[in-house]
Amino acid sequence: MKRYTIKVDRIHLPQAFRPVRTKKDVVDLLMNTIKLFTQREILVPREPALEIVLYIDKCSRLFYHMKSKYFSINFPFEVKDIKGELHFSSNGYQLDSFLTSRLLEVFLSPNFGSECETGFIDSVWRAGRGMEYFWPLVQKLMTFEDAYIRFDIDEKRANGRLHPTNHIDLFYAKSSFKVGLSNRISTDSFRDLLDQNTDCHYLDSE
Amino acid sequence: MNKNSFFDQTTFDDRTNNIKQSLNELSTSEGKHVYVIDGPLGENRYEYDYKDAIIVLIPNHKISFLNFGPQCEEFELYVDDVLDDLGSISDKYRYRQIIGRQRQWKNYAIYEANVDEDFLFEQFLEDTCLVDAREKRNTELLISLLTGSINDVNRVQSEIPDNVLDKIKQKIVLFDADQTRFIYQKASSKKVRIQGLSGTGKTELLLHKLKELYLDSDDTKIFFTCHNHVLAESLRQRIPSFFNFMRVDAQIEWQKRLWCSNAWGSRSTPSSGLYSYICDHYELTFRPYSDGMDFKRACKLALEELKLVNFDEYGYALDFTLIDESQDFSEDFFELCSLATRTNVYIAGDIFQDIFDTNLDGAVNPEFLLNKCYRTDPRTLMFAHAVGMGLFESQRLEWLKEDLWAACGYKILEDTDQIFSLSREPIRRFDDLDFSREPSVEISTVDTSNYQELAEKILQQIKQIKSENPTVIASDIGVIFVSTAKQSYPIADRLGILVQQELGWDVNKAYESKVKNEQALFISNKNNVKGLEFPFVICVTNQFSNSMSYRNSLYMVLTRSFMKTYFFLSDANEPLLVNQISEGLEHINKYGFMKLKPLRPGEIDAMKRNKEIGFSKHALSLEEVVYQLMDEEAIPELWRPNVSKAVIAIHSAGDSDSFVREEIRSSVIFVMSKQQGL
Repeated sequence: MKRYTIKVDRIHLPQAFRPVRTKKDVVDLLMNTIKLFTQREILVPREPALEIVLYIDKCSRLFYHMKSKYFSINFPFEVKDIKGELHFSSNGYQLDSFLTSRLLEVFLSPNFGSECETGFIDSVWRAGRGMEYFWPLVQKLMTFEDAYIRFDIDEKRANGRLHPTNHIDLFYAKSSFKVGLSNRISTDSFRDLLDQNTDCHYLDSE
Repeated sequence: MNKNSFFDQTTFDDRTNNIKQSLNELSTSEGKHVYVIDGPLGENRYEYDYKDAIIVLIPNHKISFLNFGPQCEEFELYVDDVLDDLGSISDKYRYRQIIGRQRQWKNYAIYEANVDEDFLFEQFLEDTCLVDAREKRNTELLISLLTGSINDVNRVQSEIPDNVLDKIKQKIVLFDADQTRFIYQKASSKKVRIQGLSGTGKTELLLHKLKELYLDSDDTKIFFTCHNHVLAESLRQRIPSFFNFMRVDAQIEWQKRLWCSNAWGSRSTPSSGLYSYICDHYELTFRPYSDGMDFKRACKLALEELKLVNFDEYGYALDFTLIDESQDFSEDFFELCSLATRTNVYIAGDIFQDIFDTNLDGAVNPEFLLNKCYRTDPRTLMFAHAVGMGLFESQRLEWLKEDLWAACGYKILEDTDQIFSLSREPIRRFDDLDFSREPSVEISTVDTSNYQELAEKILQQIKQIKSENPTVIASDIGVIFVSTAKQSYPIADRLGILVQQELGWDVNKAYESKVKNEQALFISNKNNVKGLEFPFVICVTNQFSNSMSYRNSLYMVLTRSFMKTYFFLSDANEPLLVNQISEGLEHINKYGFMKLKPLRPGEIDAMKRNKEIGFSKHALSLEEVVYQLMDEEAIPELWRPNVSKAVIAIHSAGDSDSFVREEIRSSVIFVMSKQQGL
């Protein structure tokens, strides 16, 4: 297992502070996180508001730690550390500045999710011109299991056991649901919850 | 007559002949906008019984009501009525918060006179001349209301700005005579073509025309289209905000009276494109994109089918069609639209894109030719054209005939055996602002191979702009890479982080977002800058290429600034080339006009030959170039898939135009030798 951490200002990744609602949001986060890790040697945060931890393992994950919430998503790519520089790839194709931007172009476009199929085809075609591996990558991002999970401390909207102050949210769209927690959990416990190599956690059977 | 500056909406009348002649001469000799109207333009609901008067509008002069009839109360009532209506238009567009009530501006902004035998034109100009900066600004805002050239009042501050940047940003935009004619006058032919350089406001004009057409009747069907999906989407979003801005009360009835989509669309959703809409209406065969079926061909086949349709049965699909970026379409598409449209098809395109066309002669006679670029400093525009056509270089790429220089807004100052010099007229945006001592373009040579250093250099340039212009905000600056090649992406990523970190500015990489963000520094490549303008542009380019599409992009990027372009040129370019370009620029900056070597005998033929050899207008894709070269190098069929794959990987799919053909050829040969194990 390998672990890489960066600390950044809010301005570097505002996406992490906005609610994740769609696949587009997940891809937006993923691609911009890769960009930040790639350029990590110049990061000198003034008021670090976000810690991003990348765990590379059998099932790799990204963790985003903020003051009152942490969340995690699946990380479906490979990473190589070459003399301190991180190089990301997918099935052997390097996810560099160029490719991450081209993928963002497709997923941020209003054509993604629009009713007009030629619009989406046009986007993929334009962004991936000459790259035969581009469409498989788009497909991978559209279909990969993002495995989103979030720990929240939500004092504002707390409402007894219906909306506990400390809770975990699973999934991000309409099918999301909460599991209440009696107390705040640490980032380590949150990580441990998702670690396939450690003992499982149990829900009370009350 | 200078058609650009004199607009007359009033009917012909012998009595007004002399004064109109003088006004026309004034507009020609001094390049001033002069409008003669009899009521507010674009406000159909205002009508006046009194017909013996005209209203003369000249910026920096009072709004003048001139009476040609006998002195009478009716004239006074007419003036009162127009001023009342002007007051209510001013309320409608919320100008009152800046210019105040009618009683506050009436005294300094309004002039009335009887035109009789004692009327002296020179005296009239002197009497109406305004001196005070606030009075000038407010009167100009009133003129903008009367001519329907509505400015965003939020852009204009109550205080008169004290620095050049804010003065230009707040400068009131007035349509010129050609633009006003296009919006308000009835078209004389079914297909109305409007051509202009970038920055002449074509899309803005189409939006105004759309508003006029939409409001003119309750049941017209209008389709607004362009080729590109993203541009169509941004237009669709722009229409409601434009209608809101123009205080249009009528609801937009999408898919019933108004459509705005790309040109092609899909079979399942006919309203998703103009072609699919027409196919659906006339029950034509819809042809989707496939190998061997591009849009040009799909239109050609649809046109053949449509010609056989019984129109009595199907009627017209539309009343009006508006087409933007017409250079992306073939003539068959226009014809298809024209057959399916009852009244008019408005076609707007960029003239300079066509200049590289070998058969341009027929394309320079549109109904409306906009040759004044209101965005860019004329010096920047001259420099951009010169670089685009290689005019400073030993081997020039393009030369225009006399009528084409004029169509592009040039005046030939000198044409001798030794010198050919060209100038452009100054533009209104920079009136009263003397910064001619400041160069409008500055060249720096940079090492484009070291992306870390280059990002740092661009950051330093941004910091310098910030220190020289304390009121500058993030979105005032655009960093634009001419090429779409791979190399620019890590520079942009790194620059983005540095700017966020050191300046606290948000960053918008427009090649990802495809939108302009009013709060963020703009970073993009040539692909996402159409229609955009910035006070400051940092234009970064690698090695110069002679391909037409590269030169055209370079021209487009350089002209995005309205104050200053910082041109970062790769130090890998030939020193001679850099020197020639720098010297050409120095002359423009110093003297305000372009000095060129006259055309050499045989030079035009040489340019034509160069074009035929390989600089085709329609740029080849990287794959096409690789396949051509594999043909030329006689690479065996068996090896071709592997060789092309490897060569494409080496050169990236970014943009074949920015690569020198010979470099790609070397790669083909190199890969082939590796394949054979040599």
